[in-house]
Amino acid sequence: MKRGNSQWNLESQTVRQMDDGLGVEAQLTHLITGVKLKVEFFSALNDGSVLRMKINELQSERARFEAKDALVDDIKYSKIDILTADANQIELGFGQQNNRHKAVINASPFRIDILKGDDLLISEEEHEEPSPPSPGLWEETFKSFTDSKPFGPMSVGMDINFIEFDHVYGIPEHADSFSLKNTNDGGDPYRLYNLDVFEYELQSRMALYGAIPFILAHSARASVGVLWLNPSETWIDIESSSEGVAGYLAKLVSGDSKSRFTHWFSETGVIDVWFMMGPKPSDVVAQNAKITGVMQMPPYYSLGYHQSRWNYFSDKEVMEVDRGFDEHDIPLDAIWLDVEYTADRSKKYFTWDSRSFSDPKTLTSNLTSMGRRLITIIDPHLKRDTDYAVYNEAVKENYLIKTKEGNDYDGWCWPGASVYPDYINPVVREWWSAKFNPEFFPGFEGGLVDYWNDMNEPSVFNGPEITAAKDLRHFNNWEHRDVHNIYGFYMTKATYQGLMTHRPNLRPFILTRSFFAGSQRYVAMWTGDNQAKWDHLKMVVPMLLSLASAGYTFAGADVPGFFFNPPSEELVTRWYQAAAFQLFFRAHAHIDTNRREPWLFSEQTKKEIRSAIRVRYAYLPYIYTLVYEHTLNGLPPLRPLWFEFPQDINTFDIDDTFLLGDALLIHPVTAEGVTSVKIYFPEKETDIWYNAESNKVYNGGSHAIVSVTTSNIPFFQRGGTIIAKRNRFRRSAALTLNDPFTFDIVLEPRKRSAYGRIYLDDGYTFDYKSGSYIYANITFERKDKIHTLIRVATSQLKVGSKEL
Amino acid sequence: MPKLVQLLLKEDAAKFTVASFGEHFKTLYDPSKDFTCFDGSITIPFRFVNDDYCDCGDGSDEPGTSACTDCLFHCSNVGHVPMDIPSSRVNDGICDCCDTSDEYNSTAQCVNNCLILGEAAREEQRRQQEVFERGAAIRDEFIKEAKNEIAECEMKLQTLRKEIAVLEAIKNEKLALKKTAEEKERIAIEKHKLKVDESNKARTEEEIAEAAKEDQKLAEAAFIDLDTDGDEKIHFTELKPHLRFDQNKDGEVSDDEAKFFLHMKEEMDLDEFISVGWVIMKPYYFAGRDTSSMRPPKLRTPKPADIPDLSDSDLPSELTEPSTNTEESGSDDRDVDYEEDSKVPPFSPKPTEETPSVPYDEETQKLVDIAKRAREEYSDAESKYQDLLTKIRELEVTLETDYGPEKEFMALRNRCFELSERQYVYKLCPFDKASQKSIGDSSSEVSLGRWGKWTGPEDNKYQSMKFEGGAGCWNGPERSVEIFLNCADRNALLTASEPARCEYKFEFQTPAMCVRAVEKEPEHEHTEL
Repeated sequence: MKRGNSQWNLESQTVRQMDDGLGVEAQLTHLITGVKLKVEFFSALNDGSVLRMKINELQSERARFEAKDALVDDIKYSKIDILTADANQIELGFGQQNNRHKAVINASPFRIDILKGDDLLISEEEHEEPSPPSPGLWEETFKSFTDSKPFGPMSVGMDINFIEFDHVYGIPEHADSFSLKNTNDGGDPYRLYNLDVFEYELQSRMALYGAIPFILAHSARASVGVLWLNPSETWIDIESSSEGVAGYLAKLVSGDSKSRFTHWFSETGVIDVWFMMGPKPSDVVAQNAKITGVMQMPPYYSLGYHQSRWNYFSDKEVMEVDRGFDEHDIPLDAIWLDVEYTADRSKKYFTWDSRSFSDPKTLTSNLTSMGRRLITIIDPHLKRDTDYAVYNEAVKENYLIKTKEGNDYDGWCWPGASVYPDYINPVVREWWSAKFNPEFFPGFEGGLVDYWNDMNEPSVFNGPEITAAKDLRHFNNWEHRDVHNIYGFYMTKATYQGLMTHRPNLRPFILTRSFFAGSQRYVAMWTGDNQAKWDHLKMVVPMLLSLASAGYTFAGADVPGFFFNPPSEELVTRWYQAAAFQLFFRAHAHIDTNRREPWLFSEQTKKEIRSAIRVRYAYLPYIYTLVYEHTLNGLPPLRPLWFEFPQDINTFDIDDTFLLGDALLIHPVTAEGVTSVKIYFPEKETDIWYNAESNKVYNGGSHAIVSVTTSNIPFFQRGGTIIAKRNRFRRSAALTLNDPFTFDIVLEPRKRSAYGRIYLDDGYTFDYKSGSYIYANITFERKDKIHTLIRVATSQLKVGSKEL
Repeated sequence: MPKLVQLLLKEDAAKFTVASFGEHFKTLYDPSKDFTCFDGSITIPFRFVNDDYCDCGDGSDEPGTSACTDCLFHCSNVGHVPMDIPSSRVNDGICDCCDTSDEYNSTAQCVNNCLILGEAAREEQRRQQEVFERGAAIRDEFIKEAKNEIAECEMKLQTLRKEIAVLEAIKNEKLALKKTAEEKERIAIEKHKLKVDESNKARTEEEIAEAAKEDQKLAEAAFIDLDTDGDEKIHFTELKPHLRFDQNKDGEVSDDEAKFFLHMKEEMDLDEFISVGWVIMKPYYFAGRDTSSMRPPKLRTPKPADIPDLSDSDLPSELTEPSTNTEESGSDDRDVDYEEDSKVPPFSPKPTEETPSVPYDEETQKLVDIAKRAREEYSDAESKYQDLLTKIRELEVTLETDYGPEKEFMALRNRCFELSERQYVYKLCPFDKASQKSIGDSSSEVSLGRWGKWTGPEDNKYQSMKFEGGAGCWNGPERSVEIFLNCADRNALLTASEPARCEYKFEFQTPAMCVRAVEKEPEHEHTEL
C-alpha cells in the first residue's frame, strides 16, 4: 500500500447543494478508467461539528454494503455552505461560530483539507478505487482455503493526514500500546478483522475479536477523530510526517512539529468517513457518542464482581461457589455458566442439562434471594442435529449463512458440525429474539438471568483463520466479506432485542466477544482469551484505554488471565487490584486450569482479593455516577490522563496509569515483586493528589516514587473532589441500594473547597427514563469559618453537615 | 494542608436498644455512662452507641448495626441455636437470624421460626445421634474383626513362610533336572540339524543356478528393449528417454544419470550388460514411472483447548486428541488400563521346542520328550512357588497398611463400592483402587488411581485419603481421587465429582468414622449453647 497522487478528479460543474441545504454532492471521475463516483458531504450533529463524506459508485451492477445500523437512529444534520466554487477548488463551511471549520476541496487531483481558520487539521485523499465489479478469476488462497472473489476486487482506500498531531489512538481491538505506533517499521499495518485468535500475541497489530474503525488524533493544540464506517476487512498504516510531506503541506506545517499520516484500506464497501472536529478530547468522544452511541445504564449488579469459570458443572457446584463467597464474606453479584450447562453438554443453546441443572428456576431464585444473578452463555453456532429444535427451525425457515452454491454453510465449533444464523437478516434477528421468551427457555422469568454471546466473530474451527470464509452468502446476497466485522454486532443486537421484548422494564446485561462500532449501545465486551501472565496483566490498561477512546466503555479482561494456572499468587492479587477499577470485573478460567475461587489461595492472598473486591464495592456509587454521565456526554469512566489534562504533553504516552472519572488516578501494579512504582501526576504543581489508602499528598506536574506492599493499590483522589462511596460490604451490590453513603472529600488547596456529583436510581428498571432518579451536585465550601456540605439539586437526598 | 474529611449521611435508622441484646450485654453497654471503645481508643457519648455510624476502630460502638466493617452481630435465636453473623448482614433485606433480629429496619418480611427450626434441628440431631450410635457399634465390630483378622494373617504368614522354604527346595531341584535334560536335548538337536543341513545344501545350489539363468533372461529382454537402434549395444542416449532412470527426480535423465548404468561409459554390449550393467539397472528398470503423489491439503487443526467434545463422554477432561474424524468416539482406549496387572512370574518357562522340518530319530525324540517333561515339572514348581510368594506378599502388605488407629478401616479392605452418576459408574475399592466407567460399556473402565495415603489434617489424619497414579489425561496430569469420609451406619459411596481437571473428589460414609467421644468429639454433636 503505497501513497501516491489521487487518480480522481472532482467534476466541479457537478457540485450541487442538496435541496434541503443539509448536503453537498458532486461527481468524481477516474483519470484513466473514466469510472464515475458520487461524493456527498454532510455537516452532522446540531452544532455541525462533524463532517461526513460519503463516496459510492454512481452506477453499479452490485450494491455496496453500508453499515447504517452501526449508527444511532436519529443523527441530526445542520446546514453546510458552499463558500466558494470554481473549476479548481470548492470551499465548504460547516460548524458554529466558536467551532467553525472549512473544507477546501481541490478538484484535480481530488483532495480535501479541513481547516479551522487558517489552521490545517486534516487532509485526505482518495486512492484505492471502488472499482467496478468485473468477472474474472480473483482467487486468493490462504492455506487450503480458496476465496473465489466472484465480484472481483472492490477495495476502497484513503489517506487521512493529521497535520501537527503527534499522537493517534484507537482503532481497537489490538493488544498493543495505547498510543498507536508507526507501521513503516517493516511490520504489518493495524488490521481490523474479527477473529478468534488462540493465545494471542502482545505488542502486535494482529487482528483480534472486535473492530472499531475509529481513530483519535491528539496534540496539545487540539483533538480530532475519524470514523471510517466500513465493516469489511480493514488495514490501517500509520507514519510520522517527517518524511514524505508533500510540498503543499510544507507551507502550512511548521518545521519542527510532527504530523501523523494514516492510510485506510478496506476490502469492499463504501467510503463513509466522519471527521469529528473536537477541539478537546471530551468533545471528540461526545461527537462520536452522538454518532455511534453510548453504553446504556446497566443493571447495578453488573458493575459488581462476577465469578465465572469454564465450567461450573452443576447447580450444586454453583451453589457451593455462592456459599463460598458468603463464608469468606466476599461480595459477589453474578455467577456464570459456560457451555457445559446445555443438555448432555451438547452445546445446544437454550437447553439445560436435565441431570446437572435439573431445576434452573430454583437455581436462579436461590441466587436471586442473595441479590445475585446467573449469567449463561448463548453462542451463535447451532449444532447440526435434527433433534435440536432451534436448528430445525433455522433450516426450515432458511435462516442460515449459505455457501456461494446456496447450501447451508457447515462449520465446526463446540458442538461439532454446526450452522450459523444469518443475523444480518432482520427476520432472523426477530426469530432469534423470540428465543428469549421464558416459555421457550425456562429459568429466565423476571430477568433473573443475563447472557453471554461468545464465539461470534464468528469462530469456525475449520474455517480460514478460524472464521467464516469470505465468499459465503448472507441475506440480500451480501458476501461474508461485506459484513464480516459487523456479524457479531448483529448477533448481540438480536439478543438485546430479545431481552427488551420479553422483559421490557428490566435493563439487560449481555457480554460479547466480537463487536463493531455501535456495539456499546447493546452489550459489554471483554478482551477474550488472555493468559495468566504478567505481561497480559500489563496489557489490559492499554487495551481498555484504546476501547474507551473509541467509545467502548463497558469493557474488561478475564481476571487473572484465562489460559494457564497463574505463576504466582502475587499475580492473582495484582490482577484483582487492577480490575477493581475497570468497568467490567469478572474472574474467568480455562477448563484445564485449577479451580481458583478466592478462598482456594493462601489466607493472605484471599484477604488481598477480598480487599480489592471491597474497594470496588465501596466505589460503586461513584462508578455508577460516571456511567450515568457517560450516557449524557460520552466521556468514558475509565479514561486516559490527557482526556482531563489535554495540555499536559507528559501524559500523551502514558498507558500504565488511568483515570476513573475526573477524581481518581489509578496506577495498577503490573510487575512481579515490586516494592515501589513510579507515577506521573498531572498537571501543574497546584494540582494535588491524595493517596486514597494513606492520605499522603502528591503534587501534580511531576513523577513520584510510591512504595507498595502486595496489599497496596496505588490510587489517588484529586484535590477538590468529592467521591460518594458505600462502605458497607454486603453480600452483593443489590443489597446495598438502601445503605448510607460515605463522602470522601479532599480539598483543593487554595479555595479549600471540593465538588462532586452523585447519581441514584433503582438500579434495575428503566424508570429513570421517566424521571425516577437523583442527579445531584455535592459541594463543600467554606463560609464564615464553617465548612458546609450541600447538594445542589432538588431531591429527597438527605444531607447532614458537620462543623470542622 | 487541607484535611481529608469523611462524612456520613445518616439514614432514619430505627434506634436500636441495647436491652434487646440480653442480660450479659448490659454490663458492657451502660446507658448511664459515656461509652469507651473496647480497645480503649476513644470515649464517646452513649447516644453514639448503635447510632449506625462507626466511631470505634474496633467496631465495639455498633454491636447492633451494619456500620462497622468486619464485626459480628449476635442473634440469640431463642428456641434454636444462637448465632454470630457478620454485621454486614444486618438490615440487608435478607433474613439470616431465625428470630428476625437482624432485620429490624428492613423491607424484608421475616418471620420468627426459631421454634420450628429448633425442633427440626433437635430432631435431626437425635437422628444423627442414632446413626452415630449404630455406626459406633458397627465400628466396635470392625475393630474386633480387624484384631482377629490380623492375628489370623500373622499366623497364616508364619505357616506360609515355612511352606515356601519347602517349595523353594523343590523348585531348585527341578531346575537342576531341567538344565541337565535340556543340555542333552540341545546336543541331540544340534546333531540332527547338522544332518538335515547337509542334505539341504545340495538342493539350494541348484536353485541358485536356476535363478541366475532366469535373471540373465530378464537382462537379455531388457537389453533388447533398451537397444532401440538394434546395434546390439546400449548407448547412453538410448537410456535418456526413460524417465525411470531420473535418479534425482528433476524430470529429466541427464547424461551422467544415463551413463551411470553403463559404468560411466558411452555404451555397453550384451555380455558386459549381463555381467555388470544389469545388476545396478534392475531396480530402476522395474521401478516404473514416477508419479508425484498429491498431498492432501493440511487443514488447520482446532486449537487444543477448543476441541469439540464429540463423544458421549461426560467430563470435558475426557476429550481426546484433536481429530477431524467425526466417527471417532471419545473413548479412553489410549488410557492404560492398570486393572489387569500382569501376574505372570518373572521368568516363566518359554518352550524351546519347535517342530522340526525333518522328524527326529527315535533317540533324539526321546531326549526331547524328557526335556519337555523336565521343563513342565519345573514350571509347575516355579508357579506354585510364585503363587505362594504372592500370597505372602499380600499378607505382608495387609499387615503393613495403615488401617487406622484401631485398624477399624480394615473392614473396607477387599470390598468395592459403586456409585452411578450421569452416564458413569464410579467404583471405590478402599486400599486398592478407584475407577470410572461408562454405563453399559464395561470396556471403558478408566483407572482413577491406586491407594496412596491418608491425607487428613494432622489432628484428623483419617478424615480423607488419596488415590494416585491413575490413567493420564490427554495434555494433563495423571488422574487422582481424594476421598472424604464421614460417619454413618453403613458404608456407601455418596458423591463423585471432578472439581479440577482429572482431580476427582469422592464422598464416602462408613461406620469406621464413628469415633466415640472418649476418643474424639464425634461430628455434628452437641452444638454449644
